[in-house]
Amino acid sequence: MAAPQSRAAGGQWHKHLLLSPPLAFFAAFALFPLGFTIYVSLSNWSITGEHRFIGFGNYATILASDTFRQSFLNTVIFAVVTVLLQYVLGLTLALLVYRSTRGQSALRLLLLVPMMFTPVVVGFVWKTMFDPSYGPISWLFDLVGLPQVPWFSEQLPAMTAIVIADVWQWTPFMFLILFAALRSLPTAPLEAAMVDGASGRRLLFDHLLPMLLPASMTAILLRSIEAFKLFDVVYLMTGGGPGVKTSTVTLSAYFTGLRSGDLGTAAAMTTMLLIVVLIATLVLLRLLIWAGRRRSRTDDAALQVERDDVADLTDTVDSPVTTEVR
Amino acid sequence: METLTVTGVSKTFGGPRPAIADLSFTLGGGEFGVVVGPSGAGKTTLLNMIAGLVSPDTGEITLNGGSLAAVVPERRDIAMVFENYALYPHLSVRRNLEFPLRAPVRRGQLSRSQIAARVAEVAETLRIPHLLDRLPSQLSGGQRQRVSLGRALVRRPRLLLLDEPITHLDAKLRHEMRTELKRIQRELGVTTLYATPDQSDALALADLVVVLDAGRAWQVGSAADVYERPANVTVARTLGDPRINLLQGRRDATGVTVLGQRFDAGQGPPGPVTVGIRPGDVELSTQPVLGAVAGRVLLSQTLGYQDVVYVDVAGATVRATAPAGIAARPGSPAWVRLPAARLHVFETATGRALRHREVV
Repeated sequence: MAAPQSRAAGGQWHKHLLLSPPLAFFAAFALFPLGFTIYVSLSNWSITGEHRFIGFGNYATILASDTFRQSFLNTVIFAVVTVLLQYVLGLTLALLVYRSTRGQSALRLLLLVPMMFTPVVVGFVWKTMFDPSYGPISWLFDLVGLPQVPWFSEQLPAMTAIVIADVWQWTPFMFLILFAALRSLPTAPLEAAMVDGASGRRLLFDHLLPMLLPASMTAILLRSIEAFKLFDVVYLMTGGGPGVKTSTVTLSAYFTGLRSGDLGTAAAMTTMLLIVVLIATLVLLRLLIWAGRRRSRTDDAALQVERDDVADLTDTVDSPVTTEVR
Repeated sequence: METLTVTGVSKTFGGPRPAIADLSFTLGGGEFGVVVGPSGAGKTTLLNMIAGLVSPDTGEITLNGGSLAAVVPERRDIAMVFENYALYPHLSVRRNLEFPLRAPVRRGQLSRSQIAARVAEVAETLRIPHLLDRLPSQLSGGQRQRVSLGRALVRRPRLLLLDEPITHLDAKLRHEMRTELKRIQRELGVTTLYATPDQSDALALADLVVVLDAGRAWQVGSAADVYERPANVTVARTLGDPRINLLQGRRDATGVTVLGQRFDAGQGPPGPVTVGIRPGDVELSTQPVLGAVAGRVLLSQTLGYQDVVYVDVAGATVRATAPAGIAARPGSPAWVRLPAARLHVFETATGRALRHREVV
């Protein structure tokens, strides 16, 4: 017993050696920046390079700051609203395209176009679209007799404009994942449900949506992580304005760190964001695993089934009812 | 008890040949009908048309005289058991069984306790009460099959459609389930249509057999009818295990010549014919016998209770069953006798039956 064990240990030592280059890369490009950011967030590091450890001073500062609180709240609102809208729209489009028989591939490609633009272009295009003096949307409002909306000078319209731009760009992503999931669903349970007396809405809510749950959770998880880091579209469309009313955490960190040179405070902001994203991700991952487990057979259940099968068979064979027939 | 009639139904999916071509049959109330045919014969298409999942191009399907053409699937009150069981993966066994009773079209017909009672009853009939709180992914094939049957029976449908429900079970379980199916169908008295590629299902279960191949019904009749008096070569080939021998022969004015032997077979036009004889009717001997032709054993398969021996007779392979343990080794000589009374004769050009074997 001793010999194989020591051999295994030796083998493991070699394995670690062979794994060391990628591990070194991981340390250099993921762990070091993370550790460094956290260190910077605990210091008064300025862009000129002078720094001194100050403990949690930066965190106290940002938590007391109205600007940061506003940015933080905006980030959460943007993340929740955009991801929800993208999910609902993406799902609707996926269902519609899935059912259409003609021109499906062309439709699919067209729907993916927004995702291919760089966010800079998206931000610029939508800024132009919403421009109060020469934007097509203001012109359209004028044409149908709606009152002019101060798109970028008031908080609610500005946030709405940003949400619309982000939803426009990222709904295709939801659509893509949900459409692929729909295509891979077995059709038989849906046919069975039709024969069993379900139709339309009930078919959708009782069967299609539960069967899409794992894919939905994956799509929402991926989009949520991205949504918390919303930066480019906001930067281009409103620059966080009016004032800091549409600012996000990333935007606020950018202004604090690179414009005002206070790297320590900026690092504290991004660290706060990281913690929030981490918690949200963990919760969603839990849900995803839970959703997946409902469908897949666990080892435990499989074992139990094997045992039951034997009982089942003997039961059937011995049953007097069965032998009576014929 | 509802009578199902299918009249002149055709369906094409855009392929070179129709999936179902001009199909007609009538299944009486409470009867057990079996559609038998190889995969691709159109069995599932036929059941889907009756269930309303696919609409026929032409023809009419009626249930108790009422046309189903304008009735959507959820309102037909027809239950179907699918080949791969099609259980709802996200619902427990109990919720799977409840689903048809809670469906919108039947909402309000049954109270909560009545639904629970029905589910308990059907679970009892199918011996699955201990599985009610499991998910379909935690069940074995046989258990899933029972649940899917339970889901079909729980609402006492007007018509029960079974699409190869036991094809994917292992042989032993398949046999048990076949007996169970017959018992349950008798108990409930529900008109049932069962699709299967397995000819023994057809012979064991059916009040009415529809032999389907390439979308055509080659014969509709009782199990004895289609087995004893196949209307054509396709039906003869579909039913019976081991498969019927089909040998090239010639017909003259008064008889048939096959394997170099001549048999009296009544009056008829001369020409090439296909002579069919069931392996069980072939008399096989390891010693020379009067009136037998000599051949050589190619292969011998033991089924336990009997052997199936393949004998090469002048280039033609003849399958014969023999008592288990017969000394028929590959390469050894054997003698084959075809009793004249047991021969089926088919016209080679059309496959139409000219003469059936005499039933003893």
